[in-house]
Amino acid sequence: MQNSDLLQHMQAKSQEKPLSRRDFVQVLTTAVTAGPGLIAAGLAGLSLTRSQRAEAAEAVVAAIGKLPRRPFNTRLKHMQITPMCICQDWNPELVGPGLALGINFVHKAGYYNQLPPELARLPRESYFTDITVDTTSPGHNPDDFDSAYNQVVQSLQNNGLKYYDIYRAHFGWHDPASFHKGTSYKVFQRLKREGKVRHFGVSQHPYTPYPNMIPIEVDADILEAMQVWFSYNTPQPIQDAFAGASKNGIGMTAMKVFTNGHQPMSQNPQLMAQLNATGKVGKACIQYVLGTNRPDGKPIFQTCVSALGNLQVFEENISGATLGHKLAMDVTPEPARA
Amino acid sequence: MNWLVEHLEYMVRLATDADYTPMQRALHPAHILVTLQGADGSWPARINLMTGEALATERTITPVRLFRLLQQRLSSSEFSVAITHAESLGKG
Repeated sequence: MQNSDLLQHMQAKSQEKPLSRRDFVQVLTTAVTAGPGLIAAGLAGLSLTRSQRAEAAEAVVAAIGKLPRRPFNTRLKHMQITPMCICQDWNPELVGPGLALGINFVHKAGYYNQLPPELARLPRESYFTDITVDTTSPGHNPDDFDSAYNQVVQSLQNNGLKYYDIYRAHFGWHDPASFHKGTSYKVFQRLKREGKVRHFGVSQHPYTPYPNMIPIEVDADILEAMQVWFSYNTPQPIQDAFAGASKNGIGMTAMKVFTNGHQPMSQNPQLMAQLNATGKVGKACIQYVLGTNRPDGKPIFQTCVSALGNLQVFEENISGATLGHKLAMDVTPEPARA
Repeated sequence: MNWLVEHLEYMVRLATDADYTPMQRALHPAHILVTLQGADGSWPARINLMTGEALATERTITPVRLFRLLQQRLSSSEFSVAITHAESLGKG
């Protein structure tokens, strides 16, 4: 039976009842022969049990191997991180596979009411986290010191993480005046003295256009990490603002990579072919973002976040992250400290 | 706003253990809704979906329903601040 016929036959069979062990092994073995980045695609349309999904994820992870780690730019060079982060809103079934790939940064960890068991069993110092502190969104009071402070303290009591590596002002400041008031930074300083957070960052949304806002934040010289909207087709002035922040040594994370990039990317089949991602818009979007360099040739972004909902999307995005990082100029890791 | 929230709730309910994608497609508009919350804790009853511009003077707290559903499905506190903001002003 041809592979496509086998898949079609198994798709129909799996809708009636769970595949037998023999049938599942047959279809998984066939899918694995497609190679890294294509295994989950070979299982598309199958209705799998939880344990079958877990076994398929193991095959995906085994084929991809460990993701590379690089310094989170120069201000956070002690943080060696992977080109993609785990996010609190991922499908929980993907957290274990993500950790198995070596992903060691958890974005929005402050939203966990309870840590996933795969994360809870790890030594705290073996991974990095951020908390997105929500007082700076419009309609909220960015000068509400207590609200910001209590959000961090309460979340640590709920999830037991002990501390967050990065305090991110979320959704960033609405305008320069709000930024200069500095309440978020004062909250961060108190939390840092108490050992609850370590570095100051922002998840900046584009209320004020980025070219008008980012340089102001960079010039203040207090931010160590910045997460921003960047995708394929982001206008050059915005990209230049991000390149400036990155050149300043700020650890840069790209978000909305697929949300804002998938439509223009899908309309550029030549670029997708160039990226060896024909038919895989998610892979192309991630690869493009991580492979975009500053004028000095180094990557603007060291990592990205993406909401991953199923194994196919997981495999496609991770493949893009692995290849995108290879496209960017290699950043020589700092020598290990004695 | 009612139509938008109902549509997003429908997407959230389509998610399964195997596939969270429909729910995650609702997350981006939910994030945008958080940023559109007013100082009074509520939202415009009618908005331009492309620009977020208010198209009516009436206010509503319908998005709180969506936020609670997302928090329950994601086991998350992501929208707690927005929910509390609406409730603290006596509208939740």
